[in-house]
Amino acid sequence: MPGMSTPYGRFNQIGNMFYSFNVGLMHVIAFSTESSIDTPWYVAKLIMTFNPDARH
Amino acid sequence: MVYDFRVDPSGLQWLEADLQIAASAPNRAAQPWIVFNTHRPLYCSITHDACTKEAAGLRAKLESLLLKYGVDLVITGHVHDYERMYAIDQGAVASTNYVNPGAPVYIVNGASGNHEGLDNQWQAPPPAWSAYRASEFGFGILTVLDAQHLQWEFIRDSDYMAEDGFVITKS
Repeated sequence: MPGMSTPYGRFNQIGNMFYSFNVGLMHVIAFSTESSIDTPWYVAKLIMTFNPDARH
Repeated sequence: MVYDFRVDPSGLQWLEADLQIAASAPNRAAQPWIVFNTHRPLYCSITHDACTKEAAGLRAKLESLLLKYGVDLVITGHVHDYERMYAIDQGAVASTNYVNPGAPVYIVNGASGNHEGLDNQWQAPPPAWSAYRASEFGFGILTVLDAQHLQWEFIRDSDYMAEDGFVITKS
């Protein structure tokens, strides 16, 4: 979507994953405190949520 | 089993490096709102371990960074309910009106629904930092109105009406 940066992130040694990205006027951080699976799920949800086209 | 707060040093290093970039003057001018999302709540007020034991562990690891770099809004889940907090600074209410709050505002929105149902065993009385609580299924809508106004709404599933909402205003 316009104005959105590419999410970037990493795994750490215990399998947590961290992401952040800019969208519009927001800097969004998705920070996992759980297993590796949850943060990508958050990112997918966040991108859908922040995409105005997804609300129609 | 009580969660063991496995936020290891490399994760915290990544977070601080990212927050430094986010809070830098050029980035803050372009993206004035910093929104932090994580699974488990740092503040919540039901009676099970997630709120009475585990949240303190996460606060010890994360809260100083969120304060230091001016995070505006923290959205978490894990507990199956909805709760809005005031702006909070190390357990103390920083402000109650969301105008230039001076500390992060916290939201728990774990109310989208699953087979375990809703959590409704609220602490009584509520902590001073707890502003609104609901055991209702629903979803949140976060809207950036402009660089000075960030709007949150919690929409309940039962009739798709707004159960709660507020606007953070920064001048």
